[in-house]
Amino acid sequence: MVEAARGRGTVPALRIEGVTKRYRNNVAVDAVSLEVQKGELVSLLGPNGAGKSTLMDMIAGVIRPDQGDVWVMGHSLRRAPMAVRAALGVVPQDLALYPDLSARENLRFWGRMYGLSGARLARRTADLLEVVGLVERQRDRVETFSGGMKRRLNIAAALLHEPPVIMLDEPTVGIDPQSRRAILDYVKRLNDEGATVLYTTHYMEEAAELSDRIAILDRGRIIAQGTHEALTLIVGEHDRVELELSKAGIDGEAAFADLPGVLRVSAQDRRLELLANDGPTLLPGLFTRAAERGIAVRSVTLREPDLESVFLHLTGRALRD
Amino acid sequence: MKLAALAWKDLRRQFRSGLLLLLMIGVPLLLTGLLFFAFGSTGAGPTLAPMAIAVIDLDTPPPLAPVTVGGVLMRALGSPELSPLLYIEAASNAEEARRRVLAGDLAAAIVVPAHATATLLTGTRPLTLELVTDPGRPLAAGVLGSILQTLADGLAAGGVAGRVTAELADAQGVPGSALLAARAASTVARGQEAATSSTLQVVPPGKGTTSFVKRMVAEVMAAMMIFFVFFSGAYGASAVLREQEEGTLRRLATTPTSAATQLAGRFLGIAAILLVQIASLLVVSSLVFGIGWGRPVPVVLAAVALAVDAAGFGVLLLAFVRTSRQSGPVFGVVLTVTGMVGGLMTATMPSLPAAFHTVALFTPQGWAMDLWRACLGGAGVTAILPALAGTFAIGTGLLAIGVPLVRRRFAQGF
Repeated sequence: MVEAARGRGTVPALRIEGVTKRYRNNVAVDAVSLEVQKGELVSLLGPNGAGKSTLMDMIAGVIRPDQGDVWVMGHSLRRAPMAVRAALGVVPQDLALYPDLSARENLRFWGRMYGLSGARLARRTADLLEVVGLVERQRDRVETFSGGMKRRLNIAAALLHEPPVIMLDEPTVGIDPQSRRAILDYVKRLNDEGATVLYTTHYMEEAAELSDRIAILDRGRIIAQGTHEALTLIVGEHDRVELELSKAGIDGEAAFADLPGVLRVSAQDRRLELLANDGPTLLPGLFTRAAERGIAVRSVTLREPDLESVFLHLTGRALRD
Repeated sequence: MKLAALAWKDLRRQFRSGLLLLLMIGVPLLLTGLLFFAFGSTGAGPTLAPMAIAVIDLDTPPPLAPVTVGGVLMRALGSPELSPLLYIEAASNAEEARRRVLAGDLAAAIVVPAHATATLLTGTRPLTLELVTDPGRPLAAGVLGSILQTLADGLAAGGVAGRVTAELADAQGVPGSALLAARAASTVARGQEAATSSTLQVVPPGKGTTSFVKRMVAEVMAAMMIFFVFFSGAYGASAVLREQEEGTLRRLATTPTSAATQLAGRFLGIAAILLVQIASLLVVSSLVFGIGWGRPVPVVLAAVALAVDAAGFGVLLLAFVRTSRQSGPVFGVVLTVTGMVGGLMTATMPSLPAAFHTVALFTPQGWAMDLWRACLGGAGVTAILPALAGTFAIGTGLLAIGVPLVRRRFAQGF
């Protein structure tokens, strides 16, 4: 694993040590260790199926790890699971609300499940309805809400008890850009107000924008972690060249891997991604080779080093594979 | 606090569905109502719709007889007190009457045999009246059988009285002793007619007498209540499946709420739903059909026992169902079959073999039906104790088996 940098603070709000989960012969999470300091916002970045949600479920206590342990605010998940749950606010990937109850009824119910009652429950319910912009619709059933409104309420339900550590599992999947922006801003605000945040995503832009640190997860293992800047340094000054071809099924590796300056090639459908020492210098040779092999190129994009490049560099595959 | 919140949430979700409310409360009342109105209810309470009866009088009475068996029968059956129950047709052809009974045109036919009056007066052999009924209409057979038996007893008593009178008259040399005997028999028979009419008179509700029809409607209502309460119990338990699909079960597992609290809250919710359903059915059926459910304390105990029984069965069934879509057909089949075996569909059928009742007690519904039948009969706490204990025992036993299975089945949620 590549250790690129350290976050701030000394006492971890969240400590994961050697956590492993197997399903028969498949290792979903493989001896993952990670520390998140108090007040830090750490993103777990990885493609679909990398093990992000399984890791989140183990931290939340929904599924039991085969090996390893998790500590939240000093409480061991194995020894004090209720204390761990009380210190966590978990926003699940899928909406987890009662569609036939109103927004307000949902929040009051989840607040009670976190041990809130009386004036504090009323105050937190009102505050969060205000924060997520649902005061006007608080008495309407959730089933009548738009996707973005449901997502916002889904987040609010995890914050009622003012948890010191908040985990959000891909909270922006499948929503419109406006709601996505609102959610990202709110997550940033929570972190600015002092909450420790563990955020999983497969969108590298979100990870890059939000995070103090990023941990890249692939096939159940953390393959790199550090700040955005530190991670991009892993690939040095390498450029990423994206090609869109006119048809799928072309063996890109065979066609372009031996070009001078090409470090790695990844193909998916009609898209090819090449990691190269110097993108602009590579382009003439790339077009010549394409013409020789009869490959029609519809578009070419040259990108500066980014998290996609890091993932490609480390795994030989594109993040979206 | 968490327990109450979990239960309240389930209660609120269940009673927010109009369709569910219809199934839980509307349908049992509707089905009982159909029976109630089929028997010609008026505002005064349930009564039987008049049954068409044919009387075939083949008798050739002695010339001086002042009374005949056919005459007594026609007067008794045609009395004003029995007119809400019976409609009498005179007929002459016994075969034709039998055919009409089988075709369903007549509820029954009564054949008075040749020399019936002479047989009655002389007492040389027993008088036999033939009652032809449709096997598919056991109610008609029951009612008419009862009337005829009473009449036959009266006629027999009249015959004996007449013969004793005649013998005494002969012994003392009184002339015209045969005529005297016939008058004596007639007097006794008429007295018996009056007694018969009084016995069968339909008493309006509130006077401490439960008519046959009223009791039948009450038992059908009890059976429907039990049947649909078991459905609600299973549906309430299957809310766990819906929560699993909605993702809320998984989310509950991330809150500091123990598995035991979640399960207890769930059970409390189901029990609360069932108690509201039972209370609603008891009150509405009492108001609409005039059903007297029995003494308050036994009824409350029976309601709690039924709720525990149905919730326990629901929890057990839940362990064997994968999805909420699967739950509908599975619950439908299992609850209908066990309901039938438990006697809910045959609650008012008379003369079922004793073995049927024994088999019924292998189902939770069978015990519940026994319990409510006892309550309807006005039994006190002591009298309902065996059925109450059986119902509670089955309910808690089902829970004891079901809870570990459900916990294993929903390992991630509980």
